[in-house]
Amino acid sequence: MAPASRSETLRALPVLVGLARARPLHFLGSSLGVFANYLLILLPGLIMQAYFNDISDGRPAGANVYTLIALLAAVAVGNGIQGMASALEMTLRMAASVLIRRNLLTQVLHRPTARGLPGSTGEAIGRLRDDVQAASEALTFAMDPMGMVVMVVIAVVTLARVSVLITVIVVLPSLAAMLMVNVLRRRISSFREAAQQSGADVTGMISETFSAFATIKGAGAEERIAEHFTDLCAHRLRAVRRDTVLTQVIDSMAVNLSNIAVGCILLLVPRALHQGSFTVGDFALFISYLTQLATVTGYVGEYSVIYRQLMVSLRRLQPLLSGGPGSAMVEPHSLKPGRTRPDAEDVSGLPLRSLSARGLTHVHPGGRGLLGVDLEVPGGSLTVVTGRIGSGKTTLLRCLLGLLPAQEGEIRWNGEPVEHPDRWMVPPRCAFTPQVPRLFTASVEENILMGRPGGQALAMEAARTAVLASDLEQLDQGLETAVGPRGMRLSGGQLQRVAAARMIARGAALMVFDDLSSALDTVTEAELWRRLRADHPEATLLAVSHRPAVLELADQVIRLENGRVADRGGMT
Amino acid sequence: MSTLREQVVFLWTRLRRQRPALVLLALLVAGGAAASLAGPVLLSQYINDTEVGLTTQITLAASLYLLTAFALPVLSVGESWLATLIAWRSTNQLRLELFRHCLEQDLDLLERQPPGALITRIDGDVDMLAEFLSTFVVRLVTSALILAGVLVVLARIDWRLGVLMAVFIVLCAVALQAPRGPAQRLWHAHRSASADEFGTAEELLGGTDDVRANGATGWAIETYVRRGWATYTAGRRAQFLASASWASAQILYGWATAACLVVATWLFDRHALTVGTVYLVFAYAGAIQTPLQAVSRQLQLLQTAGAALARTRELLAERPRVSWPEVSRPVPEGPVEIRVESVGYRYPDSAETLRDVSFRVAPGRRVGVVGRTGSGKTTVARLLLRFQDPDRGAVRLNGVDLRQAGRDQLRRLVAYVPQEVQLLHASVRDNLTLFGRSASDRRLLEVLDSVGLSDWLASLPQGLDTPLAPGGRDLSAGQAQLLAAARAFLVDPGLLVLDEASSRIDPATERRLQAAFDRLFEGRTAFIIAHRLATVRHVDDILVLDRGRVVEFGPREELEGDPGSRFAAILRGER
Repeated sequence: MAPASRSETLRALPVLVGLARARPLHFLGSSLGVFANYLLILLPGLIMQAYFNDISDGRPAGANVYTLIALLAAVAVGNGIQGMASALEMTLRMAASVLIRRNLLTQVLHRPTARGLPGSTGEAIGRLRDDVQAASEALTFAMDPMGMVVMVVIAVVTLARVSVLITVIVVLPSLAAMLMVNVLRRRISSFREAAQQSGADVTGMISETFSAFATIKGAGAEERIAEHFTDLCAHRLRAVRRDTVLTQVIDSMAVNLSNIAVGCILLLVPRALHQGSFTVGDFALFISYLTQLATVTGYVGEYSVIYRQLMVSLRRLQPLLSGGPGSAMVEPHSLKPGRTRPDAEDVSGLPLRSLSARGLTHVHPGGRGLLGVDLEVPGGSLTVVTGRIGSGKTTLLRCLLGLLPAQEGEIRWNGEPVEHPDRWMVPPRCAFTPQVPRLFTASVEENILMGRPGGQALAMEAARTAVLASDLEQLDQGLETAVGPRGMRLSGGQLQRVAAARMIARGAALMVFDDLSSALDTVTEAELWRRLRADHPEATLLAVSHRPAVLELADQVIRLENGRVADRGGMT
Repeated sequence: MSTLREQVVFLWTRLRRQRPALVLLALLVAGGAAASLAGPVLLSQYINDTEVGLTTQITLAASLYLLTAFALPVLSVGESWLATLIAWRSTNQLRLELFRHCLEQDLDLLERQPPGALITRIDGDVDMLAEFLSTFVVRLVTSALILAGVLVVLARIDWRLGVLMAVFIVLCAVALQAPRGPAQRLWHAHRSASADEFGTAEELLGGTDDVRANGATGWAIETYVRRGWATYTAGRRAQFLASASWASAQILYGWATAACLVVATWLFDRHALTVGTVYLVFAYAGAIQTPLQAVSRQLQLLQTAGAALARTRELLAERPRVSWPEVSRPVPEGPVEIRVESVGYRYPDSAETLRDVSFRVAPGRRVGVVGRTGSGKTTVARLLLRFQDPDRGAVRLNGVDLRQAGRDQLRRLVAYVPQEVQLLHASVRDNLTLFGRSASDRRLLEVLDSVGLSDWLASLPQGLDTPLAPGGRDLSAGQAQLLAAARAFLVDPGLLVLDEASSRIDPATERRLQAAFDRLFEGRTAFIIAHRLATVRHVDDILVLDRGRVVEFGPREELEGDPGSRFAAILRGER
C-alpha cells in the first residue's frame, strides 16, 4: 500500500499568488484602489509647497492661491472614492478566508490520516478561525508593495530636487527601523506562536467542556473546570501581552524615528530658511512627505511582522492539509452554493463476490493495534468481528475502509488488489456506521440522505429498514424534524438508527457496522438485523458486535485478541 | 438591541476593577495628546522666528520639538502595555463569567449552542471586545483631547476659524454616527452567520469518518459552502456600509482643511496672520485628520464590538430552568432511597414524555431499568441527577425533594456515568478527578485497579500525569467507559446512576467491570439503565418502562419467575 505522500511545506508566496488567482477581478479591483491611494497621498504635499511659496513671496494672494485650495478639496474627493475601493480589499480578505476554510475542510474530508487532527476539533476550529484570518490578511502584501515602491521613489526624487542632504537624513530612520525589525524577527515569531497556542488551548477547553457537559454537571465539577479555564486565560494574557507590546514597539518605530528626523531638520535649515534658499513651501513639502514616508516605513516594519505571523499561521495550518499539496489550500472555487460536485459513483467491482485481507497491520503510537490479520468475507455473508476492548476490532474496520492507512498487508476486492482503500471503499461499493456515529445540524431526512438523490421515498425506506419508522411518527415533523447540533435532540438509540439508515440508504454492496448495538436494546437490534437481511438479501455485512443474538445470526465469527485473529468460527 | 447607555454600563462594570491602571493610562494618553499638539505650535513658532532670524528662539523651538519626538515613543509603548493589560484582564473576566454562566445552564443549552458556536460566543465575541477595549478607548480619548486642543488654539487665532472647525467636526461626527444603527445590525448578522459557519465546520470535522466512508464529501463541502457564502455575503454588506461612512469622513476632513485655508489666506492678505500662523492653521486643520481617521478606522471595530456585545448579553440572558435553593435541606447521607412520585415530564419540541411515573427503590437496592429506546429511561436518570425538574410530581432522595436539596451535596451523593464518555485533553489524573485536587495518588491507583485499568496505566509513559490525546483518541470506547466508571468510584456516592455504561464493553472486560461494580454497589443504591441481559441479571429490582409509563416494577427474581411478566418476555427475547 502506498504511504501517504509527504506534503510539501506551505510557503507564503504561492499561497498569496494562489489566493490572488482564485479571485482575479476582486484582487485587481482592490490592487487598483491601493495603488490610487499611494498616488493620492503625494498630492497635498506638492499643492501646499506651491501654496506657501505663493503666499510668502510678499504679493497679495491671487486666484492662483485659491485654485490650489480648490485642488486640495478635489484630492479629498479622490480620497473618498478610494475609501470606497478599500471595501474591496476587506471583502477580498473575507472571501479568501472562506475559500481557505472550504479547501482545508475538503482536504480533511478527502484524506485519511493516521494522526488525525492536530488536537481537538475545537482547537482545529481555532486554527481555522485565527490562522486562516492571518493568512488572508497577509493578502495586503500582494498589493501594497508595488504602490509603495512607486510612491517612495517619487517622494524621494521630489525631495532630493529640493535638498539632497536633508533627503539623506530622511531615509536613515527607515533603514534603522527595518534593521531593528530584523533583529527582533525571531522573537516576533515565537511570541506570536505562543500567543496563538495559548488561544487555541482556551478554545479547545471550551469545546471539550461542553462536549462533556453532562459528565461535568453530574460530577458537580463546574467550579473546578472554571478554575482550570481561569488558569488557561491568565496564561494567555501573558502571552498576548508580550506579543502585542512587541508588535507596538515595532509598529511605532518608524514614525517615532521620523519625528526625530524632523527635529534634526529643524536644527539644520534655519539659515537656509532665513536666506530663502529653502522656502516655507519646501519646508511644508518636507514635513508632509516625511509623515507619509514614515507611515510607509512603518508598513515595512508591519509587513515584516505580518510576514512572520503568516509563516507561523501557515505552519499551524499545515496539518489541516492532511498531507495534500500546498496548492490545494488556495485552489480556486466559486464561493456560491450549488456548485460542489457530488461524489462520483463508480460502479466497477460490483457485485461483490469476495473481500479479503492478508497480513493487515496498523500499530498505534501507543503500541496496540492490528498485527497481521487475515480476513475472508464472501459476498452476501454476515461476518461478525468480536473480541475484547483494545483487541483491534475498530482498527481492523478502519484499515479496511481506508480510514486508517495500513502499514502492511493488502486488501483484495473480488480478488483484485485495492490500491487506495480510502477511495475504493465508498458507495456504491461500501458504506459504514461508526462506533460513535455523528449526525449534523439538519433534518432527519438530510442526515439520512446526505446529498444522495432519491428524496423522501429513499429516506423513508432506509428508515423503515433501520426500525426508525415508529420513532419518526412520534417526532413533530417526521423526516423533516431537525435533529439539532450533532443530533442532540434525538435519543442515543434514535441517533444510532438514523446513522444506520444513512448507511442503508447508500445501497452499498458491503455494509460495515462498528458496534451498531451500543445504544440499542436487544429487541430493537434483533428487529433491525432481521429487516436488514430481508430488505437487502444480496448485501454483504461486516459487523463488530458482542451480542449473542448477532453472533448466532453470523455466517462467520472472527475473534480478535491483541491485534491477531484468535479464533475463527467457520461458515455454518 | 440595547441602548448605548446600557452597553457602556455593562462594559464599565467589567472595567471598574482596573481603575488604577485606567488612571495611569489616562495620564499617559493625556501626555501623548499634549506632545502631539505641541509639535505644530513649535513648528509655526519656528517659521515665524526664522522669518525674523531670532537664533536663540529658533534653537529653543527645535530642541523642544526634539524633546517631544523622544517622549512620544515612550508614551505610546507604555500606553500599549497598559491598554493590553486592562483589556485582557477585563475580557478574561468576561470570558470566565460567560464560561461559568454556560456551565450553569441546563443540558439543552447545547441544542441551541453547539460547542463550536459556544467557542465563538465565549471566546470569539469577547475577543472582539478585547480589541475594542485595548485600542478604541485609548484612541477615542486621545482623539477627543486633540480635537479640543485644536479647537481652542484655532479659536484663539481667529474666532471664525474655531467656528468653522467646530462645524466640520460636527459634520464628521454625523457622517460617522448616522450609519451606526444599521451597520450594527449588519455586523450582528455577520457574526451570527459566522457562528453557524464554525458550528458546521466543527460538526463536519468531528464526523469525517461518517462523511468519508458514506461517500458524502460532496454533500459535506456543499453544506459548509452554504454557510461560508452566508457569512461572506453578510460581511460584504456590512463592510460596504462601513466603507461608505469612512469615505464620507475622508471627504469632509479634506474640505475642512481647504475651508480653513481659505479663511487663513483671507486673513493673511489683511496682514492679520503671519506665514508661521498660516502654517499652524494648516497643520492643525490636518491634525484633526489623524483623530478623525482614528475614529473612522475604529468605527468598524465599534460596530463589530457592539454586535459582539449584544450577542454576549444575549447569552448572559439565558436562564436555566433548574435553579438551586438559597437555603437547602440536607439530604441524609448513606445509601439512598429513591421515591419518584407521579412524575410527568415533557421535553420542549419533542414527543418524548413521562406520564405519571411512580416507583420507590429501597436504600442499597440495585434497580435495572429496561425498556425500548425512547421509553423514557434516560429522562428518569436525568431527573434523578436533577439535570431537569419534573413538570408534575416530585423526585425524592432519602425523603428530600430534589428541588430543596443543595447542589454540592447532591453531586457528592449521586455519581453519574453517562452514555457518551467524553475525555478531556488533560492528564489521566485530571480526567479522573475532573481537575479536583483532593484525591491522593494512591486512591487514584486504587480505583484504576478496581476497574481493571492498572495494566493500561502501567503502559503509559508518565503514569497518572500522561496527557490523554484530544478527544480521547488514545483510548478505545470501552477503555473510556472504564475510566468513566473509575470517576464514579472516586466520588464514593450513595447513589450511582449508570446510563448504558457497559454497552460498548466486550464480555470479558464487562465481567471484570461487573465484579468491580459489585464491590462499589456494596452499601449503595444503583440505578442502572441497561439493555444487556448480563447486566440485568445482577440487579435486585427491575423497572420496565414503555412510552413514558411504568409498566412493571418489582424484585427481579419474582418477575423472572412469573412467566406472564413483561420482564420474563424480554428475557425470552420476545418483546
